[in-house]
Amino acid sequence: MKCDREQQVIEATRNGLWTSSLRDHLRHCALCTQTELIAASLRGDAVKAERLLDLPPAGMVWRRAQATRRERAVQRAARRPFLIVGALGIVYSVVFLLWGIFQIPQSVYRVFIAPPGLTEHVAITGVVLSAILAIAGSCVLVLETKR
Amino acid sequence: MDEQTFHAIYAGTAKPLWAYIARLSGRPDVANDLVQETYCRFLTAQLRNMELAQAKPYLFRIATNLLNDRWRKGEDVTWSEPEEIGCERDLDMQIDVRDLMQQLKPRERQLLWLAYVEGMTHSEIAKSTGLHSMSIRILLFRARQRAAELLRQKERALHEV
Repeated sequence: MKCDREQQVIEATRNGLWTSSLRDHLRHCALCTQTELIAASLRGDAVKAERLLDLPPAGMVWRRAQATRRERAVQRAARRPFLIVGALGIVYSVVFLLWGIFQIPQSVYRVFIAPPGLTEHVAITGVVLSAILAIAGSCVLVLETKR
Repeated sequence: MDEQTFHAIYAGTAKPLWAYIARLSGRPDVANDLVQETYCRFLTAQLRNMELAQAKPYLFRIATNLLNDRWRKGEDVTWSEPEEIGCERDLDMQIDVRDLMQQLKPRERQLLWLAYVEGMTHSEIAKSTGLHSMSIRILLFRARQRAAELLRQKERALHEV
């Protein structure tokens, strides 16, 4: 169901310019009467709502948007270096861990066999721990940067 | 977009946009925040210079999406009474429309407001809401039927009193 003059009724409700033919049409068209009832109610409310306004000046909104735009540009620019640093961190940690394992294989075995308290034991545990932490840190860095 | 063009667009759209968000969410404080966020997104989208007629549906689309996000998260479930400062109160009218908006579904509120307050055509409403333009007619018709029924109920109740 649609009336061709509905848009005219809405416009007339908005600007208050009712022609006599439109008024006459309104008396005979149930759809347009319904439209006028709702449009007038909502329009009256909109006028009231606009009186409650406390909007900031356009200049302030403009400056805020410019600041946001710059902030996002910096974030975008910083993303790639962070990704590269994270990836290099992972490569470095893996190489360092492999080097540590193959460089002193006997000491590694001794960690698990010999009693604790040896200097080698402490050093190797430190190497392994730092490599694990470096790998974990790099992974977190890469994931955060990707997000 | 240059600053002068933005000032013209802001002057022509800020008030209706605020009223739209305020009446759809029922919260003027939310409207204040979302209007600023809408313009921020509009400007950071790095659009070329736009005419007011092109910018308006685009701005309403951003605001509609922001409102939909809030509703999806379950925010703005309760309405807060806006304070009428420095203006006379027409209590019957105010209660009617506020009651009406509260009883309608969010989608119905959006369609009715855009069609009857903003005077948008069906294609403009489609642009502003993201709905298909073919479905606007039927959705708007249903929303109008429901709104008219609610208004009639209110009128009957007033007559009976």
